[in-house]
Amino acid sequence: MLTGLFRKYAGLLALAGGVALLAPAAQGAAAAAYPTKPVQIVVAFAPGGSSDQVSRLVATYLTKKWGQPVSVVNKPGGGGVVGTAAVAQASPDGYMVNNAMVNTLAFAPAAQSKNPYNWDSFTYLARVGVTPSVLTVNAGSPHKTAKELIEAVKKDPAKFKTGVSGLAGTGAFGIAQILHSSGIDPAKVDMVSFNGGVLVVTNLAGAHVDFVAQQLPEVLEMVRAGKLRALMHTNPTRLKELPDVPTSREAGFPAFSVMASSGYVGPQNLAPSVVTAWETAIADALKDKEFAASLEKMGLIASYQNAKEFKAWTEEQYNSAKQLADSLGIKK
Amino acid sequence: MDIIQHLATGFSIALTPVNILYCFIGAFIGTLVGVLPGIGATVSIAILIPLTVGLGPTTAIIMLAGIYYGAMYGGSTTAILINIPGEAASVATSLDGYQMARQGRAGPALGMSAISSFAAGILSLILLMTLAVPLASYALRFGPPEYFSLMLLGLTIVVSLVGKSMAKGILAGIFGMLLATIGMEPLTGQGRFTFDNVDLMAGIDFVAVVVGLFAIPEVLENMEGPSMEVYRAKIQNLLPTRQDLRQCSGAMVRSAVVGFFIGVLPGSSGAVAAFMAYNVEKNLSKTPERFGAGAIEGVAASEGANNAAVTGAMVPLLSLGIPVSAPMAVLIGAFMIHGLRPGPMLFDKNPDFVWALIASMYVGNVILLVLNLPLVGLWTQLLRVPYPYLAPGILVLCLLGAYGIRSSFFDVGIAVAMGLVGYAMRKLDYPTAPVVLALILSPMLEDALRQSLTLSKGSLTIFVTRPISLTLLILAVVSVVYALLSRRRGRRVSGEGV
Repeated sequence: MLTGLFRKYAGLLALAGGVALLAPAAQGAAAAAYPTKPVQIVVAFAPGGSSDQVSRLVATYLTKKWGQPVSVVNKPGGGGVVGTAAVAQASPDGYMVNNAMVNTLAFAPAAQSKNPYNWDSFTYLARVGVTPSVLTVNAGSPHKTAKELIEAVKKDPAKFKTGVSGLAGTGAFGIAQILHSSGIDPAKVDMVSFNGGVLVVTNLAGAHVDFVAQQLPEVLEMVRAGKLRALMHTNPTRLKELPDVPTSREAGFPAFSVMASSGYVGPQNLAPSVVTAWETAIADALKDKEFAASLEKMGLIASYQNAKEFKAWTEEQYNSAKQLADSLGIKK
Repeated sequence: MDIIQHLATGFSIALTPVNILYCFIGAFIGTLVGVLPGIGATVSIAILIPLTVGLGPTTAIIMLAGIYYGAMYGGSTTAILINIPGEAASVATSLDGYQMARQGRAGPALGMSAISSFAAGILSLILLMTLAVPLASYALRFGPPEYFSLMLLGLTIVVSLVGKSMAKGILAGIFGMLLATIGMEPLTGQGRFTFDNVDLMAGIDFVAVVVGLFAIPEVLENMEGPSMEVYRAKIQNLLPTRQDLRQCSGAMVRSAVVGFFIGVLPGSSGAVAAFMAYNVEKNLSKTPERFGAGAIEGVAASEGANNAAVTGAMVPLLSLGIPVSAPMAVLIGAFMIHGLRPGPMLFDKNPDFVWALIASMYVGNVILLVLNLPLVGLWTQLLRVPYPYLAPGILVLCLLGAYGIRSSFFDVGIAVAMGLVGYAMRKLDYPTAPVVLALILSPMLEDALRQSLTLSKGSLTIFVTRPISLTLLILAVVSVVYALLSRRRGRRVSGEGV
């Protein structure tokens, strides 16, 4: 009976694609041919989030392409810092990589002096796509445009409350970009931090906060249903999901530019063959119709960058976040 | 009438052979992962999503939803048999369920948990059909102050769980709150008690603490006895008697209502629902002293509530596109892969899908009842294994469970450390349930408190000027007073004096 129980347990683990058991065994395997054994993608968030969904899609594609099992391992905690740090410290063989989001990769080290890694503690592999941020208010709000809203905030900042998901998230940085560039001291606007974007949007829909700058997929359906109103977004061009909503440049707030990103990084000093394998695989994946369609359904805009471009882009994000954090005095 | 028409359409889709088959597969996998600690519904759904791409959207979601509520049925099994609550939602079940197992009543406990899950599942589905749309706006009215008051109400349950000494119980609760503070602080991401250690930054995982405090000390203590006869009494009947059912009928209805309404609220969980329903039953009982010593109503309340909470969680999912819990978030991912956008327009745009899903939950609950009742006999056979052979197996399950949640050996260490703490607590007669309750509730309590105070610019009046919040605070006071009174009454009855 007991062995039966264990057998079932083992069966489940196998079903889990070896999530728990398939740790990379040998280290420093010959780097020329990659991959020659199972690859783990560490997702630093709980199952179900954007990072997890995209990685499961990528894992399925890579398993087919490479003929080696590629599995997703969730290591949530500490706002994504824990799983990301685990990869930074992994052995540099390319068998443990991280699905990196711009907030864990660039914003957390910019805002936290004690962060266990920096933006350049990694080998950059490839970027898959980006998600724009959207400045959104409740449909009952009297402010119809971004200009109107920000004018009103300027007049009486203490009257306004905004919701963010963590002070080092894209929402917080987006709002800081808007306020700072408009000459408003962000410290004067009450910033309520929620545990996850879902709760931020829920609290906006319930009118407990006045405006938020969450990511597109989080607000899209509520905007379409007329419960929330989108004022502007950070995509460089108009979005086909929300064709009537101006870009931040059109709306007169070019500083509002934060984009969430999804890409892959590994520990420092990965062999060039590993980098090339990832660059080729991600570029091919984005050309695959089925893959691209699934990506779009998840709300990610395909936007490939090779290792070099991805690294340069992240550095830019880090620098602007750091500048903002320093000028606001939020660095700890 | 509209509802009946819609439901008929729903059933016509849900009852096609293909959908029944996948509903069964979902329910079956759910039961299995529910039984095994450390593999939760969340991970299983996430893993299976890519495999459902070939199925039609309705069929796929029917199966994945089946995993979620199936896991709630299965979660009680290890909680009752060997005191390992695999998920937070079944902690309250183990309080009485395990005691029943030790008294030879594992069968009725398991049977009752299936029956109560079923009854509450069906009742809450009726609530879902009739109240989904108006309730969606009720859920939105819960801002941070309302959550704070709700969590405070939850914390008052500690008083019900303290056991003999109030002081020791409250100390245990405070210990749980302290454990919850370890890790990155929720507002600004500052590390607390982390000593710059990356593992500590992630905080103390709940499952590691539960297996550590509940299961490991139990094994250690049982090993001390010369005979190691843990399940002392002979296994009696396999299913609940007529009298058991009569005794629990009220609990089933009440737990369905409590579980459903807690489940509707984003950010709360099946665990909160289960504890609240447990507390309601204990407070209403004429013999509250039986709770914690094998009261079957306790099992019925906890299991009914956590299943009803799943149904409740469908309200914000279907009507607002808001996932209230991690498995729901994964389910939303599945919706999107299948081209369904959950949101305020889903009911209007895809009525066939929504109603087929609701109908399939009726079907699924029936399947789960049919599936789980025969399993009771099988599970109780497990208790015939001599304890010296069973004990190492239990320990392995514990550690696997602790590892599985975050794939972390650090959590295994925490489980072992908590096992020793739990053993010491037992020897010194400290209750362990308040630790777990406080560990679940206090992070949410802290978030909500600090968010509320940001909203009110530091004024505490925000909690009493908002009607829902005020009502919940009054309920919290009533709950404490009631529990204290029934404690006194209980003591008088047992002749200990006041």
